[in-house]
Amino acid sequence: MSAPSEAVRAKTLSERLGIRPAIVELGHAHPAVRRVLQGAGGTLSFLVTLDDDRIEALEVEIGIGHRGFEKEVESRPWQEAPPYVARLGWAGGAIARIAYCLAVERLADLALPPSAIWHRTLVCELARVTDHLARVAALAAAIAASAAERIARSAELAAMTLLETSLGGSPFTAGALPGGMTAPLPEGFDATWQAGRGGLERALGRLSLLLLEQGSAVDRLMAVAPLGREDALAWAVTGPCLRASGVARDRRRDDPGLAYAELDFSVPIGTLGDDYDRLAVVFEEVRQSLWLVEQCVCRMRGTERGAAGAIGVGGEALVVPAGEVEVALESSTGELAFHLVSDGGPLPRRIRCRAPSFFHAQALPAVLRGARLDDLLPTVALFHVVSGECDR
Amino acid sequence: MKRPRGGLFAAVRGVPTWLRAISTSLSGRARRRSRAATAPSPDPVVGRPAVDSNLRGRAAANAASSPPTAAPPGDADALERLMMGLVERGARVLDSAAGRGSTDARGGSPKEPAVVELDDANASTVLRWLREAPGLAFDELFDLTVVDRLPARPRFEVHYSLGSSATGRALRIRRPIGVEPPEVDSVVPLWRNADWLEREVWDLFGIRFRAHPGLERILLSSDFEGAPLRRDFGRAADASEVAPS
Repeated sequence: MSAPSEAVRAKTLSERLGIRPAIVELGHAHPAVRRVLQGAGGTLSFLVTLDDDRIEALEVEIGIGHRGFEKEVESRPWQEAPPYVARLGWAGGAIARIAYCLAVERLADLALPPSAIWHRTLVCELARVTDHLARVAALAAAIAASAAERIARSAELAAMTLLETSLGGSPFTAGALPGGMTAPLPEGFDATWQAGRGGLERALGRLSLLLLEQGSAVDRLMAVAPLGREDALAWAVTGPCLRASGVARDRRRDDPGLAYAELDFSVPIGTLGDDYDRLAVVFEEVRQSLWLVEQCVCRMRGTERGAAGAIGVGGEALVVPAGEVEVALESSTGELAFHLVSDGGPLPRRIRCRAPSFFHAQALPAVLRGARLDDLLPTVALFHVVSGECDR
Repeated sequence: MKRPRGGLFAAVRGVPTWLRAISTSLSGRARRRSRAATAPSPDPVVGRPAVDSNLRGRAAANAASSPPTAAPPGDADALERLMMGLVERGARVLDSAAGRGSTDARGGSPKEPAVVELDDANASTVLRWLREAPGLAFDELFDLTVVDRLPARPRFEVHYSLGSSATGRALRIRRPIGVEPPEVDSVVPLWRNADWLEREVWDLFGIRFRAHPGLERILLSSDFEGAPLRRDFGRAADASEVAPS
């Protein structure tokens, strides 16, 4: 008697009711998908197999945004890669440029002036604030929290404006170059930062109220799509989503580069790895990053700004001896690494971008198994799969 | 419409964020103190930066409550066992900084991962041993990619970046492919996130992974012909020779 009832228990709800599982396609042109994922590039497609209203299987399709980045930069000199690297993300592109330049400097044994180190740290943290706010805006769009979405988008815009002011242009045109930056931190940045910081902190407070404490939002996030510690490590999830799953790992603390060893900051760690934890970790990281920017601004106050001492500006060729290096940085999406291979010639042998979004997109089916269909987009928004780096 | 999310969490709802068991780990300042106690760093004002961010390194993943130390007890033994085990199984340990050949069995520490070179004969054995040997447990695959060394032979090298969540050690593996047409064993049975990484290599380099659960293109469309990241693609390429579709 136990054998037939076990066979019944093993069937899904749909099978027992005689309903075939529904397969729903949420392509990248679907209006809900477009609305939510627009800020991150919007080139993911989903094929969802539903059992009643639970996700039984999920197929994630990437690659629509593939532009041949790695092939392109192989045929250009090392110092011409940064504008391509910057297009691996929006605000995240600024961090990607820094990671690439750190790798080139390591391989070519270039010294970096201290003003550039502080400037890069400041840019890295401002870019993190901007990208995290984009993630929060996408999440708010996904759970139809329209007030929160508006606040998050305007805060993101304010942060992006601060980032562009600090860089001297958009991340696509200005930022890190091997050996320095395209331009030093502008003279009036201190005042601009003091003026803008309050607005960001107020926006963060309002968003926290609307998304972490308001019942309707918390209902959409609490205990949704939990990711356990072992699974997170097995899928090589990194960044805020790994920390939300309870793994105390942050490259800025464990392997500090740039100026992080001189700075004071805390790293938020979650417990369950559900959507609520991911969002709460992101919020706290924004607060910590604002504090880090404040520290960088204070440290750079009154010091020698330095000229933009970058290699390659004006046509100097960068000589990179043979060898290879892998440099990873804690980007806003996760651990972004550049694996560079040089054979001593004028052009690179291989520039490989290890993009955290690629790994997160791969982990989505495991994370979302058993979740409801309307948990798909909030979870994807919180993982912040940026198509610029995922598809490259 | 409110939907119940389960009794365990019903009580947690409405609790302010800062109480909801979100702990913060060791702050940067304390980390700086412990670093100063263990290793002197060069003056940040002069010359190279005080810290290099370059190579993967992690404190033990469960160090949330204790300050990270320079080396956990028994670490030197573990490193020695790792190096001896690699050499016994026929691997070559290279100088990590430039990847040049050297018989020095150094590296394998978190800050300076060793670069280990394998070949067709020992690759599967060594990778399985690295994944499964007790005390080593390289359970994380951080990255998997290929470098095309054309016109040098062997042409393709598969690069693995491994990590250990327990010991915090990182390791980089280089594995030239000696067979033509190029194919290697899939490491999906060892690290499940190798799935998409190997699909990307198949897609862009045309290297086949034996026993992969579903080897098909991932970035390019399924009707694309050729392996574009090969160095001879787009130059004097014979498309039929490189098409993996």
